[in-house]
Amino acid sequence: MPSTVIIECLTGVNGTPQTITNHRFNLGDTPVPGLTNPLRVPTSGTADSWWCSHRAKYSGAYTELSDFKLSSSGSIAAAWALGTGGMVRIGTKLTGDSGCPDGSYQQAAGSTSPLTGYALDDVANGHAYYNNPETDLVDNFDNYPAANPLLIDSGPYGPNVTGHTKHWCLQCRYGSDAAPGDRVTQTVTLTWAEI
Amino acid sequence: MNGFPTPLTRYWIKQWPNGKVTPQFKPDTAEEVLWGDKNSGMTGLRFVPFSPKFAEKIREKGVLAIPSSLPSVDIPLDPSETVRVRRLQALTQGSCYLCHNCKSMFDWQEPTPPYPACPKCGTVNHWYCDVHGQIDDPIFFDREEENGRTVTEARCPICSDPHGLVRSTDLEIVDRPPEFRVKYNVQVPGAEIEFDETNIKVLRSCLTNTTPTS
Repeated sequence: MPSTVIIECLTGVNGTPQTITNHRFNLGDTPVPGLTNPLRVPTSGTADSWWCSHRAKYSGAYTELSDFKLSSSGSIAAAWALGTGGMVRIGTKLTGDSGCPDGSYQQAAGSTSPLTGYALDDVANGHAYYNNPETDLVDNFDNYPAANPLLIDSGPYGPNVTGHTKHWCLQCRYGSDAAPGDRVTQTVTLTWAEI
Repeated sequence: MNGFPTPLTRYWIKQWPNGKVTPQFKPDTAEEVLWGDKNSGMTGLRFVPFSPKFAEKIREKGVLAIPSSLPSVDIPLDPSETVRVRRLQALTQGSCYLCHNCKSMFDWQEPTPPYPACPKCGTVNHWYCDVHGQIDDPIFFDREEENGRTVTEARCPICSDPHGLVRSTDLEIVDRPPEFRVKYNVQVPGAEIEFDETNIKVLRSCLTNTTPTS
């Protein structure tokens, strides 16, 4: 049978995986936050959600899986009206796969004063796999629409192996002029090559 | 959740010089033959849609075969040629609103508040006070919790003492049913063939870098 692919969210100190079908950006480290720890519009500047770490888990009978890529609608910032400087950000590497290997997983965190998650690329408190400006770029996820998806994991994997890809890290940045309230639901697309 | 197997819209048939063929699914048992590492020595490669009966037989094996009347794609090959075949899968996930009044699911496309409304029946979520009923102009009040976090409460503007409101859940955010798309990509010397449910496209590498002359 062809592969079966599901999406997992990693949380906790060791990156415990849990299957998800959507994600709500929040100020906590939980795979299914519901309405807890909602984002708070800052009084000035910008603030960030806690980052999330997601990956694809694959299984089934196949010869090879490769080239896992992630894309957005390309217009999340506009649709969400995140204010000045607002966008959904994703950790990328300047060369090669942009996904983060298991060994470099890092639990999300943030501060209460100011109330914000740590920026992925913050030199002091950011994600160690994505906060070196010489090799990394935390980019606007809108720059990766379907026509220009971000390479997460080139693989290849198989045959017939059950495993998971490298994980990708997303966070939401929002400005002090962002309007509070619910936002339009957005979709994320994962593509891969299979034979 | 165990996930969903990715769907198939066509199956491949390898054609050999001796006239024999290797189909992806055996006609009698519907058992799948993996592609393997044999990428040359063929005289042709076919991608054939599933008949309803064959698709049903394959689905009993746990493979999500989609029956259709899509055209077959026939690619003649020289046995000396090496072919690279990939099925490009796309999985789209997200969430959407479920209207508990009319049971329709919808995306809310307004970029900023006002709050979502069901495009089919007009249902919206309301704030309620257990004394004064529906409240259309609640007071939003920020309160700091012991852990330093700030939560926003909705309070009744009529009650003299601070009185919290409850929001209805007529519209609820739920998981969107996963959407799969399948596109095939076949690379042979000098050409690349891509096809899905709606298009068949042939890309010829010898033409990609040409410059028009006047």
